[in-house]
Amino acid sequence: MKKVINAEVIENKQILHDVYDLYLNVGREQAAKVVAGQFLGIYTSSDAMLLPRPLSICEADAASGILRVVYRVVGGGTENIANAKFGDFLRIIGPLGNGYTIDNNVLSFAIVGGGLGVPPLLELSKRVRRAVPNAKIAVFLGFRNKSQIILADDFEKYADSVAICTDDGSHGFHGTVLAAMQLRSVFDMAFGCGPKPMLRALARYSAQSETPCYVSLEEHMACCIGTCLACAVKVQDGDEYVNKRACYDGPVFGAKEVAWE
Amino acid sequence: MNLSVKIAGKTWRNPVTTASGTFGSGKEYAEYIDINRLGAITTKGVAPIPWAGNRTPRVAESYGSMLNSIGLQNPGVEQFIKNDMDFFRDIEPLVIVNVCGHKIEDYCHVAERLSEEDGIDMLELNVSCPNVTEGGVQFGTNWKLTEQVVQEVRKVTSLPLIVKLTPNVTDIEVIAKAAESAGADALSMINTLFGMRIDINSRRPVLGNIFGGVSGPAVKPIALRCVYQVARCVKIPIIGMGGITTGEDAIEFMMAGATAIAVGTANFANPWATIDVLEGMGKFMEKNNISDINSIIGAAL
Repeated sequence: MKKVINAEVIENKQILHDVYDLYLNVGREQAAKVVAGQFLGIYTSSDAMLLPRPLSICEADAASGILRVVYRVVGGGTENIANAKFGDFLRIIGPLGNGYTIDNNVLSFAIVGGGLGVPPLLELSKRVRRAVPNAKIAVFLGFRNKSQIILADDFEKYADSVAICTDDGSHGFHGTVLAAMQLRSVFDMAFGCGPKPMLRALARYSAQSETPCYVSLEEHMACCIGTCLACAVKVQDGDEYVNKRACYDGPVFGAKEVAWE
Repeated sequence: MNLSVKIAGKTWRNPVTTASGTFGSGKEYAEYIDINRLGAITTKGVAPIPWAGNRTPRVAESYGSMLNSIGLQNPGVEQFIKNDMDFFRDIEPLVIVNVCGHKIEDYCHVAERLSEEDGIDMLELNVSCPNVTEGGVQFGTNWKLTEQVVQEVRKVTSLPLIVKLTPNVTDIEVIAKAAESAGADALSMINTLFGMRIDINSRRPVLGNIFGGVSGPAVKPIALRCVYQVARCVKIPIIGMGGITTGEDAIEFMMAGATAIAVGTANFANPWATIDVLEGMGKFMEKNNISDINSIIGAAL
């Protein structure tokens, strides 16, 4: 049976003015289950806020049982979570959803993220490196400007190259991740997580270049476990597009199956 | 200690069911709890054909409550049967299927089709969803239409009929009595309250559908009032719901006149909520030397 876990806060530090870096001890059993691209449902400590907050898993360490979650404060719920201190406990469910599937026979990977879509790609980069030790891993991370950059150094550990792109050119490549990506060689497989326009562009690029591509979609959720049907996303099923649940059928879907309109 | 109750000739092993739309068909929650401990499972609404539901965002939160505007997304009755009947035949709780439609024929079609299947114990007519423009709450806010839809569905099925009432009416007693006189075997109440939220940064409504249904602990006093009012004026049993989160909440609804209760939004705040409610009821009975749950039904009336 799946459980609600009381996870101890190991660290919860502010890394940007509205972004926090949370380390949670969820126990080895749960940590070992994590697939890159999955998320946690984190309940707040307030009875006034009923719903779990779906936050992606940035890193999972099965040996210590510690998960890392990098998240932005966007409202009362995430603000409440940001107030959790070392030694506090947060109620969580997860890991939830379906993560990225890594094809071991592929040699060159593009990992493409934008903004707060970047965190789950860190665990993914680690897993790709582990699954295919001699893989060429090119990471492209997009941010609005220099002050919004997160996790760039962490990716260096697993990637052959990390291209930082900013909308205003204040750091690295001036332009979108897709523009940066198209300047480089072709890839055998692409993974993406970030704002919808970025994912749409990535899907178009991968369709044109016939690169298998998987993207993580985001939608407002209530239950996080597949029952409430709040997080509907249009995805192809056979000949037609149907509503699938981002929380349970996704959040990772094949880019060519997603309705991008 | 006896927790079993009887509704429309069906024996519930205990009074706990799930509020439609908060529990799917039970498969996902079966990963978290032993659903065989529940008295009944009430499913998500089922229409004759697939409904895509409303645009996203479909949920928002408010103090001690949430709003949803799912819009009764469902795969249609045929796909529903294909997906879930085997599961229903395997589980112990009674199965109550929530039936929805845009017009009376829709309700009849679904009720008739479900009656052909073995493994469904009761039907709940959803004449109270605030999130669909045609049907739904249009029926439930009009006593004549409520009467008509119940009468017509009554003709096509022998399954017990539960009519789910909306609190968004001037006088809930009028609707309740209309449902009873038209042949309803039981009433369930309340569906969600009509509400909205506005994002003050974007200056736009939060929900894609603008309006949605409010549920959760914040609505409990309203739901309790509805149950109490209706219990005083009808003879058929009531399934009470609206913000039930603990065993004490459930006891409160039963004392207001409910024969059974449903746990809804609490499932989202805690996947174990149904079991917590059930166990909490048992603890209350033990502590107060209540040997039969039936003895408290309507105790406050």
